[in-house]
Amino acid sequence: MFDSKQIENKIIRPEIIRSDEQLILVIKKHWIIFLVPLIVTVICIIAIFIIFSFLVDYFKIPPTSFIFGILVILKGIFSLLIAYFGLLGWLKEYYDLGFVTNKRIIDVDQVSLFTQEIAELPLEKVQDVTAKKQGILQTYLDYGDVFVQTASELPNFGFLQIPKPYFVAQVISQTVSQALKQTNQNIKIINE
Amino acid sequence: MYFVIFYLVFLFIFFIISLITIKRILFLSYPGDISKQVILLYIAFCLFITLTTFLSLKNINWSFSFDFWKNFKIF
Repeated sequence: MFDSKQIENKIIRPEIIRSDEQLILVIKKHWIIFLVPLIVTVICIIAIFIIFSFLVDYFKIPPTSFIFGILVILKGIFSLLIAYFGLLGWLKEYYDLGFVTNKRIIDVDQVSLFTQEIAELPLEKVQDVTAKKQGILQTYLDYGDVFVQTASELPNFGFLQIPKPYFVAQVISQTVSQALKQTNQNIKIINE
Repeated sequence: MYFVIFYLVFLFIFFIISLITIKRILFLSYPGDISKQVILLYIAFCLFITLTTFLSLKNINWSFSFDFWKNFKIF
């Protein structure tokens, strides 16, 4: 699920990635993050079916009765609502993205369906990049956190529960170095 | 019968909200993501639940009867 290939700028979130930028990396959450909400959604839906069956069997409700009809409708409504909220939960995690371009690091936080927080950090302001893996699960599945430390007045960036955190940290560091080298070259040209 | 009408109204509102949500997901999607598969799975599940619900409701006798309470036992 992790894509480190260069991607055409124009087809990835053109409202975020500018046309004069080159997209280096797209940072997504690890697949394991979606497993727990998925399991919870499935369990809740199964529970509804079990409760329905239990009620029908325990109270010996005839399948043509009024009460059976109400239970069927309630079962349908709750199943659909749980599926919808499961979809929203998935959307919130799946579209929490990070982008590394040749000029900026961008953190897109999908707060809710129509609410998005986008924070960006010029590469020149990056002071330190740290990658962290904690525990057996993160070690075996190769996912963890990457923290980007910035100049004091800017907030620090954190990309949590992403695949290959050491690789991501390495790419960010290299991109920052290249950006600083380019900036120094530009300053040298201006001063000549 | 009013419960069926209530369910139909709920389904209509649910359909509108789902459509808005799916449009939003398609807007946020990017090449290589699994949004289309997830949407298809969601639609398939919703259709399955709706169809099975209506099939179950086909034979319901909507006249309320107190006979049900004869079988009502807590213990």
